[in-house]
Amino acid sequence: MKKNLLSLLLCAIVNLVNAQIQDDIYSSVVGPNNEPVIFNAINMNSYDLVSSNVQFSKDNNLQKLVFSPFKLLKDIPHPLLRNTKFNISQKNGISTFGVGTGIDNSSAFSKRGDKLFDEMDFPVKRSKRDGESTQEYEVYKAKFNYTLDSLQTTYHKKLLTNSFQLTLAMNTSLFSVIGGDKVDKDNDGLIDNQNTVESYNYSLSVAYAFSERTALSASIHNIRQLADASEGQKRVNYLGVSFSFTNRISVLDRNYKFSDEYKKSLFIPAIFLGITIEYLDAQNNLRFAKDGITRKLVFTPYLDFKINLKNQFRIGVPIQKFESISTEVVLGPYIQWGFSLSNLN
Amino acid sequence: MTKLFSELNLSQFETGDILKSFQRDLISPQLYLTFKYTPKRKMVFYHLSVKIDGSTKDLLEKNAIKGSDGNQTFFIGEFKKGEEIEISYGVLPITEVPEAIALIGQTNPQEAYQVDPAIPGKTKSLERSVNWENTIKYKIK
Repeated sequence: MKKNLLSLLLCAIVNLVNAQIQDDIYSSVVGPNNEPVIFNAINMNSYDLVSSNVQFSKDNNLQKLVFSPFKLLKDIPHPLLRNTKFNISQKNGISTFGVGTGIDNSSAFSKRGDKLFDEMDFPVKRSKRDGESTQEYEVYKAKFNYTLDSLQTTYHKKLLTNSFQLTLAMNTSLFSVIGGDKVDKDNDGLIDNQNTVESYNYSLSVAYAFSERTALSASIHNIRQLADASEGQKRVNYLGVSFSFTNRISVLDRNYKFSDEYKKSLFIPAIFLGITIEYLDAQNNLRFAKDGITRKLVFTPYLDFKINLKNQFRIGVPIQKFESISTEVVLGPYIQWGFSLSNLN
Repeated sequence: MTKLFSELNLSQFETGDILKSFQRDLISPQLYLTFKYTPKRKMVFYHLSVKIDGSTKDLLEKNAIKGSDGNQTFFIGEFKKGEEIEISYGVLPITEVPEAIALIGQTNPQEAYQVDPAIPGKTKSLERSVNWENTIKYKIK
C-alpha cells in the first residue's frame, strides 16, 4: 500500500513539473545517481529542477525522485531556498524522505551569473536595407539568428564551466511497517515492529563541473542505522565517503548544436564513462551492524547513455568488498550488473 | 534623444520665435515603447526599428541592450498627429521569463496601451532562447 502511494506521489510530482515553466535546467553530468550502490537512496547531487531515477539490480532496487520546487517560483527567492531539494525514494522496501539545500553558482540568477551576463555583448539586428533583395535579407537574418543562438548557449556554457554545487542534506529512512499494533510474530519475546525509523542520514556533497563534458563529485555521510525494526536493536553509527568522476567519451548526435534541447538546456546526446568509489565504516555497536557487515567498499565503473533529456540509462558494474565483525572474513569482491533509468517522463 | 527648438530657423529668428519653437516642441507627441517583465530574468533587446512613410530607421546601434530589472523603456521618436508608424522589435530571453508585456506610451496627449499581447491584462510567458519578435502599427493620436 505504502509502495503504491509512493509511486503515485512520484508520478504526480513529475506530471506537475512537466506542466510548469522549467528554468535554468542543465543536463547534469553529475546526476543524483552518481553514488550508485551504498548511498543511492540519499544522494541529492543534481543541477536539475527534477530528476527521477529507477535502478534495478539483484540486491539494489531503487525508485527515486529529487525535486527543487522553489525553482518554479516567479520571484527568485533567496539562493538557499531556491536550491532547496526534496528527495523521495524507495529502496528494497525502505522509504526515504529527505531535504537538502546549498549553493549552486551555475545558476543564471547567482552573482556569478549576473557578472557573466554583464561581460557579454550581443549584436544588433538591422532592418532590410534599401536595394537589398528579400533573399539577401533572409540570408542575413539566418546568420544573425545563428550568432544569437550561439551567444545564448555560450553564456550558459560559461555558467556551467568550472561551476560547483554544494549540498547539505538530511534524509530519514523508514521501515516498511510504520504503524499498527506491536506484535511478536516469531515468539522470541521481542516486539518485531518496535522501531519505525530505519536510519537518519546526514550528508555534505560537492559537485564540480569542469565543463559540459567532465565533472566530479565528493561526499561525506553520517548514518545512524538500525539493522531491523525489532526490539533490542541499537543504532550503529556509520561514517561514509564517496568520490565520483565522469567524462564524455562519445557524442551520439554531431548536429546537437541545432537541437532545441541543446539551446534550452545544453543537453548533448552522448555516452559518458565514469567511476564511483563508495566507502562505509561502522563506528560503534558493531554487533548490531546490518547483516553483520561493518565495512563496505564499492567501486562502480559505469556507462551513462544520455539519449535525450527524458530518456537516459546507466549500466554499472559494482565491485564490492564487505567485511564482517563476527567472522572477520572478506566476503567480496563480487560483481553484479546495475541498470538505472533517470529523468523518466 | 529628444531635440528641442527643432523648428527654430537659425537664419531668421527673434526672441518670440524661440519661445514659440520651444512650445511647439513640447506639444509634439513623443512615443515610448516599454517592456515590462518578471524582474531578475535576463533579456537581450536586439532589434528595434520604426517605419514611417515607407522609410525604416533602426533605433539600436552596435550592441544590443541587456536588461534584468524588469523594465526597459525605449524612446521611439517625436511624431506629428495622425502619422501612422510601424514599430518592430526583437527580444531574446536568456532565462525563462514567466511574464512579459510590451506597452506604448505617448505624450501630448497622454495615451498608453498594451500592445503585446494585444489583450490588456494578458501576459506572455517566454521560453529560454525562443525569440520574441513582433511588428505593431500605431497611429499617433
